[in-house]
Amino acid sequence: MTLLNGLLAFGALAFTVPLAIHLLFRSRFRTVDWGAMHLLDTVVRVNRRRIQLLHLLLLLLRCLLPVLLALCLARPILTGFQTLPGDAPQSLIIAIDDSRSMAARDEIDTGMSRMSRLQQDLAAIIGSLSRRDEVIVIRASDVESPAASMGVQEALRQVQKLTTEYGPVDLDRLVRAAVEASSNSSHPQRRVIIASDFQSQMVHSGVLDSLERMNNSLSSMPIRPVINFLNMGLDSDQLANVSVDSIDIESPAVVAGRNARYTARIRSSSDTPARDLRLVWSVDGQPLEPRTITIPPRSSITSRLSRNIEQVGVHEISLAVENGDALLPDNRRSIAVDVIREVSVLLVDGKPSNKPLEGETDYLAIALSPFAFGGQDQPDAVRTSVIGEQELIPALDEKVPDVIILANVEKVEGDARQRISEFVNDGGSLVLFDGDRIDVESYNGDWGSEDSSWPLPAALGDITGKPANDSGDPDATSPAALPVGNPNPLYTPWNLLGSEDQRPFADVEIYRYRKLIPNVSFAADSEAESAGNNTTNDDTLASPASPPAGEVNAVTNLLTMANGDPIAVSARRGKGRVMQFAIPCNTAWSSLPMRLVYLPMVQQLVLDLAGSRKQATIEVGRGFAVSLDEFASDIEPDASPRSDAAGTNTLANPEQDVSYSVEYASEPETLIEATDDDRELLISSTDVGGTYVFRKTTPRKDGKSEISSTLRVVEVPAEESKLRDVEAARLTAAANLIDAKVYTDMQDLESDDRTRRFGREMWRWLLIGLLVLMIGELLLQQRISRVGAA
Amino acid sequence: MRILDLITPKDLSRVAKLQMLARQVVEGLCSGRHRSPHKGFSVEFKEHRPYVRGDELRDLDWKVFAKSDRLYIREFEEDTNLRCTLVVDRSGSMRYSGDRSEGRSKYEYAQQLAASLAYLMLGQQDTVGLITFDDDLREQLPPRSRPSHLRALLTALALDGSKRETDLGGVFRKIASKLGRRGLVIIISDAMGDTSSISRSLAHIRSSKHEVLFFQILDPDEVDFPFSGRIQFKDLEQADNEHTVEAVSIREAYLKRLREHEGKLRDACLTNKVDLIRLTTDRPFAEALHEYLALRRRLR
Repeated sequence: MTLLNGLLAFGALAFTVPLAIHLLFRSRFRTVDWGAMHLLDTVVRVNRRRIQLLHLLLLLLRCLLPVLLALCLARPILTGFQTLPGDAPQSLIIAIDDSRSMAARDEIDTGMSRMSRLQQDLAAIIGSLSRRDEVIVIRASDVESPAASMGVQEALRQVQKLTTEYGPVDLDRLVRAAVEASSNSSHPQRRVIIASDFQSQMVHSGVLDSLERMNNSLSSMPIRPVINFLNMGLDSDQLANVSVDSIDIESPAVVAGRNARYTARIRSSSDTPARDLRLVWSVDGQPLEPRTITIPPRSSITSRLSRNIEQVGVHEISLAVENGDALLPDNRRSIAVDVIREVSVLLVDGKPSNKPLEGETDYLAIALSPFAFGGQDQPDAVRTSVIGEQELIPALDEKVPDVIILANVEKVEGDARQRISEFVNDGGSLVLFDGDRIDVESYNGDWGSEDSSWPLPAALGDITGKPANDSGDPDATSPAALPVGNPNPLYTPWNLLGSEDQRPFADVEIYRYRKLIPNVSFAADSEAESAGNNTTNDDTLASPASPPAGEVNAVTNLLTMANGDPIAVSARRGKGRVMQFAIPCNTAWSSLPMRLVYLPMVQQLVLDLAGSRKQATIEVGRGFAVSLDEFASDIEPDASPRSDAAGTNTLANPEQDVSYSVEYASEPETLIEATDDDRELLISSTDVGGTYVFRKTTPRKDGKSEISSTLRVVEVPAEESKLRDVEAARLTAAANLIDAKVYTDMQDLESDDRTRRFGREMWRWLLIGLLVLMIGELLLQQRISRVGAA
Repeated sequence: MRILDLITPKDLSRVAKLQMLARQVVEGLCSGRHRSPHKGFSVEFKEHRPYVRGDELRDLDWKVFAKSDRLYIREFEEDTNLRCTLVVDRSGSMRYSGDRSEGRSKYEYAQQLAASLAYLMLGQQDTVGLITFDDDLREQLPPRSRPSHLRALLTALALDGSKRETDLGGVFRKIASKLGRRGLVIIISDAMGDTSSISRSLAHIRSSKHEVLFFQILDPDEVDFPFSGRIQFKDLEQADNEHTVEAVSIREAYLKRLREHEGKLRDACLTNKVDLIRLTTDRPFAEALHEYLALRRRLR
């Protein structure tokens, strides 16, 4: 124990004053010649010992009073809790959850959000540090970055700059990052503060397991840091919040000049109805006519928007709900929509005919461009070109389509095979329809060059069933129709056709089909190769959290017969996709082209294939890449991206000083370098949500600059809007796993820390003891005067 | 020694006006204000009653016999003298005098009270005797009705109190054997003794048909124990008995003990049909005496 004001402890000697008074008064008394000693004798005899004891006790109390008062003033400190000298410099590691839920305003009256309170608390803590201390600030949105120690002023600046635009936080990663930073810190006295609102999704069973394992590594550390959890979130369930949870595009692809439908889900967590909320859709920041909605308590509603965007490129569709609720940032949500020009489909007819509807691709061409076939002015989403087998290479030379459909083409060999492989590898989509002319051997071989060869999603097998008739009229003969199953519900473009209960393919009769044997070995090989080389697939480059290559290249059954034989299969190959049908696209083997479901089926299919390659809306925390080809669309609207890449590439000419920049959130516009090999602008990770606008500035000879732009939207997952605290017991259990302690008040945390560092101050307890003694002295004095009466 | 040495003229004049009336008729040698239970040759006719064998013939009312031819006996009420014995405690405890009693000790108060009573009763031709005691009987004067007897009484009362302790029970038993014929016994004491012993002694006195008045004399200090601070209480009866205590710390206990003592004394007096009158030395004793006599008059 030490004393802060040691000199004042000498005041304890004042205990001699009551002692002296007692002794003095003991020797001084008045003598009375008493007559009624007969009565007094009994009283004194009975109470003598008791009176003496009480008087001794009173004397003791009176002596203790100045002693306690002196000790209070001397401020004694119990140093039994101290681990290191209290004035030793310390390393303070602050790991901060900067997810969106930290923006929740617990105190709506004052408008203070959890993050604001945390910033205040942290400013107080950091402000109390000495110049020798070091601070390491770790944001949950940036745990991967190397932790850097900083001084007090810089730490204060960092804390004040904190935002709340990150998604769900992995508690395990956050703690690990903080512990790792502490192991690299300079001072032997190390504190880790994990500041978060500890939402329920943060502390799942996986986190508990991981923390348990972490405790072992903590035990083996030469200096184990003191870990504290600071819980800033309480009573989340009581907060009334309205959030835009999602915006989805109902259309498989958004084509310029054609209406696309968007669906937004708005949720209210309030116990009372959210009435008369103003709902505003925006396209590229331009607000549309506002709507008014009412959301019942603790429920969701859906708002739809049908919008025609004329301009090709990536556009931002936003929905904002005007409501002063607990969590304001989630009242607005955006998605980036890649609006494509009409889809160019190259139909290769393997068995052309001059008669109407007798060619292989006649039905398909009509289904893909129904307005053109009907002579209507309304533009079709798809522009088809029908060519023969021999015209394939010239057509590809002339213009690269979005989708190539081979219909009953006997074989694809030589240059044609090579060009189609390259087309797929570069991101194009290939659709194969079966037929009686197909050379199985040719199709079942590998496609592409040796270093990037791939097989079709399914190997072609034998033909099952009988042909309808030679004329192609299925009603002329009556071979046994084979039943068709339901489309794969996971393939969302075909959800438009109808639900499983409605059985959209029930009236389709298939008489003959080819056995498709899904090629699963290629997917497995891809996965092994991916794991062995530790390289990423091109598709996964844009998304660090993308599934492995094997899963990407896996074959998906889109439609099967009732007996389980696949009718349509799909798989990714290279950057593109390959889709195979076990039947022709005319009526030779089935009645499918004659049924109502055929047109939306092929329309959705083609739009999906043409429009699904660009990931324009990204979840916060993930990285993404923007192809330089996107910028060409503004400059040369008529040119395709790939022709631009091959021909008028501005980067190919070093004399042209082309620059790229990105602007997002509140950050100023910054220049960004394109990667040399992939010709992409790469954002490795996003720690802030919002709209990322990429600009390409091309100087012209006249001194002016030509600017083209594209954008991406980085959004926070809707889980952050579902405010739900983790159970206190669960959080405590998680903390106990790593010997951490949970605090809800920063002052308690600091008090405990002071106790740990400097020892425990005792003056409060002594003061309480002093007051108790004073009261006790009064009571005892009163009792002495009443002694014997009871 | 004169009466005025013990009592102020003012008090004396007040005492002289008092009329002492015994509650009971006591036997006496001479006629006085007190009625005798013995019917005799007095002047005051009481009643006629039929003659029964054995009656004195001289008591027959011959006039009635002459008129009615019946034998009646004439009965007269006979007035007797009050035979009073003053029993005064002169033990050490009676020497206490507090601040509020104007320097008058309990014994002095008892002297004055006894003198007043003697003067009063002798003025009524009653016989008055005196016994003083501490741990034993000290002065003993037999009851006399001569006015000159007052001087002897006052002389005996004027002797200083002793420093001996009291043994009220034992002394009272001795007194009972000395009292002789039935009469009035007036005990003046602070009653600082064993109450059970006192009770038995009173019963003994009462068994001899004596009327007993008990004047308990206390100092105001003994009633409310007003002391504070550290006090050494020295016993007035035993020189080696002393207690040094914080007066405040035992006050409540003392008062409780006093209440218990008073309660027992009161019970003892009630049991033995003894009139107990508590007097404190700060009260003029004549007033207290007046109140008592007024009470006796009402009870008559």
